[in-house]
Amino acid sequence: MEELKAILSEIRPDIDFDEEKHLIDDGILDSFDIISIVGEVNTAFDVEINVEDLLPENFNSMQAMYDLICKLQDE
Amino acid sequence: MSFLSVKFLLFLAVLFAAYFLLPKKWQRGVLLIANIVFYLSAGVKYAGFILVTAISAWGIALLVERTNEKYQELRKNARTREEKQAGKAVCTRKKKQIMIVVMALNFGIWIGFKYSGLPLPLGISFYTFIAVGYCIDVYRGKYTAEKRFDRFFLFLTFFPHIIQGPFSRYDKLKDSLSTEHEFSLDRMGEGIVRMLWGFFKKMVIADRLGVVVQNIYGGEGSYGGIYILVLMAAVTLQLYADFSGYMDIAAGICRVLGLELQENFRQPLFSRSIEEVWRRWHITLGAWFRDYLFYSISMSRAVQKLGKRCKEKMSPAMARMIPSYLALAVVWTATGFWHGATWYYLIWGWMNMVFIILGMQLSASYTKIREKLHISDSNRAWRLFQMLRTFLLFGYMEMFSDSGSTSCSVRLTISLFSSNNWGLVKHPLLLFPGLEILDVVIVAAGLLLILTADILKEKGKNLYQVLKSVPIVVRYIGYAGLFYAIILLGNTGTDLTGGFMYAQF
Repeated sequence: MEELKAILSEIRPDIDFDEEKHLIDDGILDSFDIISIVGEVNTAFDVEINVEDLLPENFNSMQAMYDLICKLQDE
Repeated sequence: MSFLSVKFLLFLAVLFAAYFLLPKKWQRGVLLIANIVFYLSAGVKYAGFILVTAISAWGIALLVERTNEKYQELRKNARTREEKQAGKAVCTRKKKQIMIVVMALNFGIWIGFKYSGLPLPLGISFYTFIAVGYCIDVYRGKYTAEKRFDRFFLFLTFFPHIIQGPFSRYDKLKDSLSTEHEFSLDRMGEGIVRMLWGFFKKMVIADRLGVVVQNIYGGEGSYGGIYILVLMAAVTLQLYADFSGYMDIAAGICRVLGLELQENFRQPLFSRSIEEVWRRWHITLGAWFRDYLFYSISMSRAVQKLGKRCKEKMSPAMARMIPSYLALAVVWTATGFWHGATWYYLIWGWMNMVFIILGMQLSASYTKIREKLHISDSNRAWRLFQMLRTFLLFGYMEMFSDSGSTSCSVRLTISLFSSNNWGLVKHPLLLFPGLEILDVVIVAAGLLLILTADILKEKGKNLYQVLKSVPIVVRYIGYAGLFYAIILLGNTGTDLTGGFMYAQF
């Protein structure tokens, strides 16, 4: 989780990822942020996030992103 | 059948009566018949093409779903991770092959019509993209495929979105299309007021601004300097009043019927950057290209690999943006191409792309400059400056897509700087060629109304609720004023599309 937090904070230092739970629904992250996050996460966690995974519920919070990474590592 | 014709109003009256007076279980059938009547009123000759698109998209989506289900079964029965991955790879390959068929067929028909000079089947640029978007959503497992063809056909041929959008999503419209709706006087009032507002925007404001725009384009170089600035503003305001006016009429019809149409505009005049404009203007077109093209390209293995390689040669922040910028280049080329296979549409698309990228790359520098000048981001004058800058820049780019040729746009750009007529700013009533003084006053008053409505919406207010809080006498005088303004001051379109600007695509 700490590694993910470091990635997210580097991309968007202005966001408190511990607190925000509606990153997509509230339009806090835009499509450019998502692509940057996906690129970094794929490399750091050796997973492949697909377009099919780009659902608000997978990116609305840091916990949701972490759960997605765990799920993909499991597959 | 033009939205601006008496025939269309009669069509609506019959539809509303049948929809609410016949048994509620027939509402879907009534709507389906209305869609077919509306579509066939444009001519029977090309009607077969929408049927081909509907059948192919519906059938392919079912096939894709069956493949998805097979993968889920495989996944359940797989004993190892390798088995799961192998099953996924086989299913993905099969789904991709199926998708290539539906895309090649439908985009093939669309390209064939669009770029051969043949008359376009009604709404082909919209229903083709709506149908392909539906298949991609099912492919990605976003929702399940519709089993019943009549329900899918009802969605695809839905007459409020067929002429010029919005690019509806099946999951957003399906629930309200499959529910039975009680008649509601309040909803009917709200719908009719919104329709009136749309007719007013189109017939009273947009068509008058269109006269100014066409006069300046056709002025053969006699208009320069300040008139080009007027053109940049007029072209944006004309398109906004025209296109959002259509959307108000379509959304108003849906409101009466109890259906929810996706909004296509969110007060775009308040945008502070070109990137923001495209989150507020023609929202469903931008969302289509973002969800189905931008993400597909920027997340593809090849582009992600390229992004990784770039990290070795440039700053991490810049390298991270490479996949996005590459995808943006494809998206804006495609958006230009969607409007038409001409250089001026492509240039318009590329200009949008350049200003979006520049805006993003320079945003840190802008912030530094602003902070050095001790201006807060919420400063009203600063925000107003950003809005005005974005408005004129957007208008300048719209001029490229609207003037009919690149050479005309270049000539107009040169004449912006070569004419010295800025003194005319003291005589604003003379700045609108083709309009009488009374017309200028009508346009100014109309634009003030639009601006007021947008300010209220930006503050989160529901316009109809605001109107309802006004004393009843004043409110009905206002409605009557709107109605008579349309009757007395409005132009009526006689062609198929009612002269709506976006219907040409």
